[in-house]
Amino acid sequence: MKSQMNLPPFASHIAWLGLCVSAPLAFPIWASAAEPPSALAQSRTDLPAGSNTTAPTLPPVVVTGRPSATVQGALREDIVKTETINAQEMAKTGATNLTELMSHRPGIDVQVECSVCNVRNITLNNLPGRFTTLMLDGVPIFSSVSNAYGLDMIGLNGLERVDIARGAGASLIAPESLGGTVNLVTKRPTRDGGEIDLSGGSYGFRRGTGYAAKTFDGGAVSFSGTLQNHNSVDGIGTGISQYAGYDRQLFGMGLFLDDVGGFKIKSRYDHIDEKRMGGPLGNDYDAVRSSTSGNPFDFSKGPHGSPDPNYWVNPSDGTLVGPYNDGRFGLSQTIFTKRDQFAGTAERTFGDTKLRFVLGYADHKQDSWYGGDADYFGKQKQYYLESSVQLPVASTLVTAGLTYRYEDLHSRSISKDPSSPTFGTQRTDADTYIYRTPGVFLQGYRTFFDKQLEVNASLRHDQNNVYGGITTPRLNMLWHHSDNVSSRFAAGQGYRFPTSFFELEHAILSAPAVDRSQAKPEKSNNLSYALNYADDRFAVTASVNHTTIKNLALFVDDTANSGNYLLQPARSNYTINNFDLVGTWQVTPRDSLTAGFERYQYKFNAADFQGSLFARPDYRVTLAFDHDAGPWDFNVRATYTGPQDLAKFYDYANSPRFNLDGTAKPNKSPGFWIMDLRTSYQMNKTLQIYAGVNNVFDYQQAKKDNFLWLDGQGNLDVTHIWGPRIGRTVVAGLKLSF
Amino acid sequence: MKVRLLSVFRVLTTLGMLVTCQLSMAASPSMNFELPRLDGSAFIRLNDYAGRPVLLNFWGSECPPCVAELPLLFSQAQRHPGIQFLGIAVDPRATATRFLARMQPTYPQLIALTQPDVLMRRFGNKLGGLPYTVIVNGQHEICNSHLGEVDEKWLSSAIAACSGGAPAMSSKGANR
Repeated sequence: MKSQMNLPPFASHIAWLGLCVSAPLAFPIWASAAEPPSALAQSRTDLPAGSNTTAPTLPPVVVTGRPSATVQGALREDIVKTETINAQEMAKTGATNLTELMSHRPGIDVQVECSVCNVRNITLNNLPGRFTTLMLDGVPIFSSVSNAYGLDMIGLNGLERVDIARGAGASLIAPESLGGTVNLVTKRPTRDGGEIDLSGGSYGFRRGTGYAAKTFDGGAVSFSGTLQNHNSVDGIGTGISQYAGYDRQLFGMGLFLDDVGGFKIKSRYDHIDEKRMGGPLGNDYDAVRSSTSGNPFDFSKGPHGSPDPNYWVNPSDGTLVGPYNDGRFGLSQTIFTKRDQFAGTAERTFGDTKLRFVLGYADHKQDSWYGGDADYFGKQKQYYLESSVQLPVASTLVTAGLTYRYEDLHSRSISKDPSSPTFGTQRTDADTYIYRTPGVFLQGYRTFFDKQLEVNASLRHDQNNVYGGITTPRLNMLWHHSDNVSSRFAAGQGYRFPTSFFELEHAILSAPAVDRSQAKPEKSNNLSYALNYADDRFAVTASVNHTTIKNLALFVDDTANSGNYLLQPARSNYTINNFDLVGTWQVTPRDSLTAGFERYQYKFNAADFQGSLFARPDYRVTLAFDHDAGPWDFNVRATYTGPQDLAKFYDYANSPRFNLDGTAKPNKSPGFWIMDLRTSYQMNKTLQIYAGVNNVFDYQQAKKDNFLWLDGQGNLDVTHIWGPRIGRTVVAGLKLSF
Repeated sequence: MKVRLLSVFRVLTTLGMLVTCQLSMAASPSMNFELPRLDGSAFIRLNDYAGRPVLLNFWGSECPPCVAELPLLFSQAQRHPGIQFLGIAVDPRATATRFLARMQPTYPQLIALTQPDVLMRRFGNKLGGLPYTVIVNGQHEICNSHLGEVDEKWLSSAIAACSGGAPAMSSKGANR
């Protein structure tokens, strides 16, 4: 393995970038001479219309905005999918951002990693959230920092759909993709219009969004903006939030040009500005910052609270620890984020050959105070370049491409922990990493048995400056048994180059740098099979998935010896097997019912993962009822989350957890239901009003089991997480469409 | 559990193969569907129009050629009372309803809610592109189809061919 700073020569990167841009241009010359296979010609999505004709003068065909994962030709795409969430489904959930949209869906969920700062990741097949690769129009520009705090900031305005590929095998040419990919697809406006959505609700929730689209000859432009606020929430009276408050501003712009030198351009730019604070309540950041002594909290509240509001019990000897005297600031996590991102694609078709160029950019700044831990300023920059060519070779549609990923994290920090050896000392780049990853991929797509069987095989190789090279094969097969029945098999490997953003392990700031000399790329082996039946009123999918993660990255404190934190692979593998069954039935012309069941089996040696995992349930049940008639729309969503083996996931055997009164935390969490209701009424073609109640039964983890926990020596932590952080909330609003 | 998972895998795979074998031996699937009306008032089946030729037009409001051909289809439906026109929206219901509020449809509008591509595939549109127009004859066998925007010439000749040469009329209301 190369050392981190031993970058490949600068010239070689420039050469690679040049290759990214120029290589595909060489293909059309000979590709245009190739005879297109008739099978492929008929399945092209951008063919001129006409019954199986290619006459260029006829009007174009538009691929429906609701492509399913099993439509014929689904595997032709660069990014395939196993599920799709369309605009209608987004509206029915009432979700305001990506994490809300992805919560409690069969096989998909959101994992909360910090009760006071709302770090949330998207989990696929219940794999750890950081293993999901997020893409914007196929461009991967999210990484360590943005995955921690950025996903809440991804609005749903102007999205056509969200495509999900569960499993590395299904993700084909996507880079990384250890557990799967989530791809946000921007809508290309087809007519002038706009939308204003204003809503308000519990806990100071206020939201205003605007979207405007203007079409013109040969293109379209769109603008979107969101202002959103939410108070921090404490459901048990400790004065410590279980749900972080925020003040969020989003602005976006899309530009779509149909013919620029023959290229079709799709691009979007987003600016994000968010302030969030958890721990103490309120949003007076300066007041919190200056509150550094005394005890504004009450540790006696909540289940198994301490006998004294100012102290908690040391589980080892029963004595009281305290009094707490660090003020509101001591437990605060205040995070200011500014992010600019751009994702653009340019595609041109020469006969049967398609060229594609991709450019992605993200500049993510985090200015934050982590109470008793550190003041932290981080800056992450990412670029992504891709060029590819797709052309028929004999009976196979071949896609070949080059990618270049550039990712830097730089930081400066000052420890606020008196027990840290670096207390009060400014550190520069304690968690920094500099990754340069050129990659190459090759994908082949072919149909057999009169298009009944589609096969897509791909191979990609990435050469990282720190971790060296990794090659990952992936295979996808889609079998159309009949018009109504299809099945899908995917097998493949995914990988991830471990990052070291300090949110993963706060203590790494106490060392000068992270030593990666023993680290390896995290690697997954994935196998999945799904059987799908659909008719006009009923659709059901059953699937089984197997994923094994090798070399899961862990931080090891070696400050006593080498002075550094080590990034090391786990000694053993982490395996998840799961089965899920999801069905939708159009019961009446106005009513549909969806039911899903997921069962999970986790195999890992808890001691080898040092408590770095988050608890996940053994099974889940999801139910949804939609009444959709005339101007009225009524939706019910309910999810039962089964028990979670807290003792195993949190490694109680080596690191037991205790309540503030010194008693042991429960080994298992209880199962619980979450139900959300939503209704809307279309008053006329312009105005819609809506209202919703989330978490109708007001189920909160904190009322059963506090997020706060103590280790065996009485040290306080905030990451005992298995259930909802916020109780029942009400929201109401209106939407104006033009 | 590993054994159980493998068993589930085997069962599903076997089921898939069995389904394939069964279907390969079965006769060609009947041309029928059962879809809710866009206004949610009832399910409509193709068999409700037994013995009568039917024109199905799959459309979406975000599809410019679909939008462009709708006025022609609305007018042609009134001119051809011998053939039943049906529109099938692949939009979300609210979107399609809002879109059609600006137009005057002259024939029933249905909506494909579960998996529209499955329905289109059954009626010969394996690509799933829009717009797609298919005409079935009185026996409800596919008689003619067109992927892309239709014009009056194609409609007239296709309707004549599929409805046994029934003459066009200028009367209204036949397709309501």
